[in-house]
Formats: sequence, structure tokens, C-alpha cells
Amino acid sequence: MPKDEPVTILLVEDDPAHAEIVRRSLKNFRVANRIAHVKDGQAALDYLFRKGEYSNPETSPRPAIILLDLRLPKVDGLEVLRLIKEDAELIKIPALVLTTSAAESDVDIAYAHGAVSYLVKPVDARQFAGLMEAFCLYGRDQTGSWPKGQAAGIKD
Amino acid sequence: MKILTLDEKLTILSFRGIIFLILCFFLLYSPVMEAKFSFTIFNLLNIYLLSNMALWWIPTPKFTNPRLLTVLFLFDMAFISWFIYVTQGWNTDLYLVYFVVIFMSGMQISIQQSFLVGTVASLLYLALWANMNPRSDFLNTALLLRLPFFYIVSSFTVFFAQQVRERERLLRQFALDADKMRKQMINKLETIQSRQEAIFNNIPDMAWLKDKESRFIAVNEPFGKFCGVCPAELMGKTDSDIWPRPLAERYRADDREVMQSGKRKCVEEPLAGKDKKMCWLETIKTPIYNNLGEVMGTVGIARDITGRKRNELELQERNDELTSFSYAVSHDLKSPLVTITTFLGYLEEDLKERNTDGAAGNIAYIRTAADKMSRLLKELLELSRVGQKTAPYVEMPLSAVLEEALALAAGHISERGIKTRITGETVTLFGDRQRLLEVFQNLFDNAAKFMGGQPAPLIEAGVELSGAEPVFFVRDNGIGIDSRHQAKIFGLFEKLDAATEGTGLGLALARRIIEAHGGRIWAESEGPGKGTTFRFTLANAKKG
Repeated sequence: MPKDEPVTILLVEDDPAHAEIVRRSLKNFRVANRIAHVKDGQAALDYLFRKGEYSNPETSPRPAIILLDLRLPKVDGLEVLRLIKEDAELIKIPALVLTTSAAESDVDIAYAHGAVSYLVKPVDARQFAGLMEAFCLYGRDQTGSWPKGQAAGIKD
Repeated sequence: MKILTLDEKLTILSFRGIIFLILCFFLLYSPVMEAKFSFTIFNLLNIYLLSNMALWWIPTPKFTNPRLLTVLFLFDMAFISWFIYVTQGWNTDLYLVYFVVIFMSGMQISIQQSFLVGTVASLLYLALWANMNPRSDFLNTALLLRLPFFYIVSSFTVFFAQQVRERERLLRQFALDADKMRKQMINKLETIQSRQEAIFNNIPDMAWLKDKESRFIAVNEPFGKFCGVCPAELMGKTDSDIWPRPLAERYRADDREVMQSGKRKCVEEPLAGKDKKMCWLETIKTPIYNNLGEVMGTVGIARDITGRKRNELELQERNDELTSFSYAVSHDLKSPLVTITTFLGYLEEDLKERNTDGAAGNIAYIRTAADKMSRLLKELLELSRVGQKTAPYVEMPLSAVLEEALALAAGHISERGIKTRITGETVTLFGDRQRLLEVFQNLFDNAAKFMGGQPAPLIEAGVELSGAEPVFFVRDNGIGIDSRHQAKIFGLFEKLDAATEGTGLGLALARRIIEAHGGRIWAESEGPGKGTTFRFTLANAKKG
């Protein structure tokens, strides 16, 4: 993958406000990337398995990283994680859980279903920003191609 | 002194009979008796006499009349003496005197009195001597030796008779005591048995005893009732006579295990009895030992724990609900809080930079989140109230409830231009009127919300009476529900579409109310775009 090519982040988040926070945070750290935002588990699966409106690889490219909420309408986050894990191709994409629940059982079960990291949404703007920065560093580490310093090309 | 038993008495009796026959034979078929023959007869007569004595003094536990015996003895000896005299012409006087000595000594007299007997016998003998013809010398040796002999025989037989009487008394006492003891033991055993049976049959649990081969030794009435057999009929039978083979084999294995390990075993299992009704049983099996410490079988007690199981299940359901409730609260209530705090941070930056446009946008996010939170709290409070029975249950006609619920939901229905139709027969509901109204209102709201792009939206509601109980329904021709999500929609805060208004509590609330009224609710839909039908039942709803 060329160094300057923007990578795609798949954000699965049903709360529009939270999606907005993630979007702004990533913008703040000026990482050049595209965010593909879907609002429920079913849409996330459709996107990943290229079904329905997401069948065109041009407009719906393979994400480099997945940011997933656990409590989602239609199909919940754990089910999405499980189906990703079952697919030989998709399992290569690191899936991070970003959710409000700090319940231990959720953390355990998310890791058991193949999440690479579990992020709890902090009830504080500054902490949220810090978390997103850590996420960016992680993403750069993983993909090696998150060019900094450019305005991100964000797509919804 | 040895106590002769009845068998020995019979032996002596038959022995005596043989001697008697030989004696008769000699006397009848030897008309000219020579000196050596007479000696043989003398000996036989002596043995006969001794056998008579032995018979006389054999102690028996059973009381026999001594008078009867002595009279028999008297006749016996008189007959023999007479017979010898008639056939041989011999004088058997001496034997008669012996007889008198023995007879009198046996009459329960003391040792002192036995001297009197000896004297009487001596006098009798002297009288016989005086009448003897020809008379022998007075001072012959035989006579002089016989006189003291009478005293010896009489005192000895008295002593002997006393001993025998004592033994006899003891024997009789023993027999009486034994009989008394036996009766007491039987009485005691019967008391114990009746007490144990009273417990055994009156405990509500099933109970049984089995031997080492798992055959029933004792079975109580509840057990018999459960199997539909009379307890007495089960004696000696095994589990394979009652239960299907795999089950019987398992029980036998359990028995073996308990007997081998010597440890109590407890099993909980569902089982159908005679009435084919499935129930949960808790069975406890314990090994039982005889007084030598050897395993002699097992004792089993089985208890119907269906009620407990049901409560456990109910508790589990409640617990699950509570868990999902607290989970939902922690997640869904926290969600708007995250939004509010984060956007407050953005707002602070906007204020520093004096960015009024940005601030307005951020405030809008905060307001939306705060509104959502207040709505959630209100509905959660509502939901928690369902469990508590606040209003008394009343009877009400279904049609009135439907009409009122439609009026309450009229806002949503009319703004979307939805037609409504109420069908079905007259049914009376029984419950909390306010709550049942909420059920219908929520279902109407839900139907109105998910109409989608339907050009001729229609909501139908009513009741179907074709089944065993009335089934209520609210049907729409809206967007429908994918079959995969049909169970999920009744969960707390579950929303299939994030974009729709509401908190995801409406259907959860409806389900809770219906379950509190002893009913259940489910959704049916042929798929997306084909409309949805919510159906539910209510306990105590009746036609008319």
C-alpha cells in the first residue's frame, strides 16, 4: 500500500453523536483517512461482505481497521465479531471495540470473539480525545500508512 | 440331671413295648419253664419296671396329671403280675411290693415320709411271707437284705421324683416365660411396625427399601400412588417391572454405586409417573447395613420438586431480566452522558475561540442527548413500576380498552394518515386497566412508527377465539420485521433502526405488563415490507 493513500476506517456506531465525536477526534489528529460509517450490525456485515448497497469495491473499499460498538440494532456487535472471525479474509482486519459498557463480562466476551482491543468511551471530552489519539497511533502501527498533516478525506 | 426330650420318651416307650412283647411270648409259649428261663423272665421284668420308672420321671414342660399316670402305672404292673401268675403260677409278690414303694414315693412326698413308705412296704412283705406256703425261715438272707432295700429305694425315688418335679417346674416356668416374652416381643414389634408404617405412609415423599439385588422390600403409599400400583404388589419386584428399561438400568446402577461407595447419592431428574404428568424429582439413595455392618440394600426417598424447579426457573428469568436491565442502564444511560460531556468539552473550546456557529451545533447535540436521557429515565421508572401491583384488577370490555388506546395513540396515527379497524368478538378482560391500555397504546404507536412508505397504511386490532384461549392482535401493513430479529425486539432498549424515534422500551414495557397479567406476547411477520402482527394472550380473559 503506498504511503500516502488514505486508509478506510469502518465505524459501526448507532449513536450519531458518538459517530460525530469519533469523526472530529480523528480530524483533530489530522490523520488522512476515510471513515465509512454504518449505523447497525446488519449494515456492518453487508459492508464487510459486500452485499446490497455496498457491493461496489470502489465506493466501499475494504477497511484497514474496524471500530465497533457492541450494542447495536438488528445484529449486535458480538455477532459481527464472530462472523468476522469466521471469514478467512476479514479476520486479518483488526477489529476494535468502542463502547460505553465497562462490564467485565463484555470485555471478556469481546476478546473471546476476536476483538484486538476494547476501548471504553470515557465520560470526558479530554479523555475521549486521548483515547482517539492512542487509537490513531495504534492504527499507524498496524497499517504503517496513516499520513499525518493532511486534511482527512472523510466519507460517510 | 439330663432332661429327656419328647423323642427320648417315645424311644423308651417303643423299647418298653418290645420287651413287653418278648415277655408275653416267653410266658405264653413256654408252658414248662426251666430254671434258666425263669432267670431270663426275671431280668426282662426288671427292665420293664425300670422303663416304667424312667417314663414316670421324665420331666415334660407340658403339665400332665400325675394321678392319671400313677393309675396307669398301677394297672400296668397289676396286669403283668397277674399274667405271670396265671401262665407260670409264680408268685410275683415281690414286684408288687416294689411297685407300691415306687408308686408311693412318686406321690410328691418328702424324704422323711419315704421312711414311712419303706416301713409300709416292709410290713406288706412280712405279711406276704407270713402267708407263704410252705413258709421259709424268717431269718433267711434274702428277706433280711430286702427289708433295708425298701427304705433305700423309697428314699432314692422320692429324691429322684423331687428333682424331676423341680426340673419340670423350671421347665414349665421357662416355657411360660418364653411364651410371655414372645407375646411381649410380638406386641412390641407390632407397635414399632405400626409406628414406622404410620411415618412411612404419611410422609408426602415417596420412600422405599430395596435389598442387595434391588428388589423392593418395602414401599410406601405415595410411591405406589406415583407408579399407580398397590404397595403390596411391588414387594419383591424390581425397577424393571415399573419403569422403561433404560431408566430401570440406570436406577440399578445407582443402587450398585451407593452400595459400593457406601455414600449417599442425590439425583434431580424429570420423570413422568402413572398420570403421565412430567414432574421433577429429587431422589436420595442411602445404603443400609445389618447389625454385622454388611450392606443389606438401599433406602430411597424421592420428593416432588416441580414447584421448586419452577421457582428456580422463574428466579433465573428474573435474574436474567435484572442483569439485562442493569446492563442496559449502564450502557444506554451512559451513552447520552458520554455525548453531553464530550460536547461540553467542544463547547468550551468554541467559547475560547468565540465560535458561535460551532457552539450552536454542539449545544444541539447536548440537548438531544439530554432529552434522550430524560425520556429514558421516565420510561425506566415506568418499567420498574409494572412489577408492582398498584391498581386493583377489574373486569373491562375489550372494545372500550381498544377505543381508548386508539384515542391515546391518535396523534401518531392521524399525522401519518393511518386508517384503523377494530374486529373480533366481545371479550371481557381482567386486569389493571391503565396498564392494559398502555399495552395497546404501545403496540399502536409501534405500528404507526414502522409504517414506512406504505401508501395505504392500516392498523387492525381485535381478538381471535379459535384457539384454547383468546388471542389478541394488533396488525399493521408496514415495514415488517426480519424473522431473525423477531425475538430481539422485546428486549430492553432494543431498536432495530437507530434512526427511528423512541427509546426501545415500548415493546419491553408491553411484554412486562402482559407477563405480569399471566400472558405472553410474540411477533409474526412474513418479512420486510409485509407488515407485522403482534399477538398476545392474557390470563382470565373470557368471551362475552
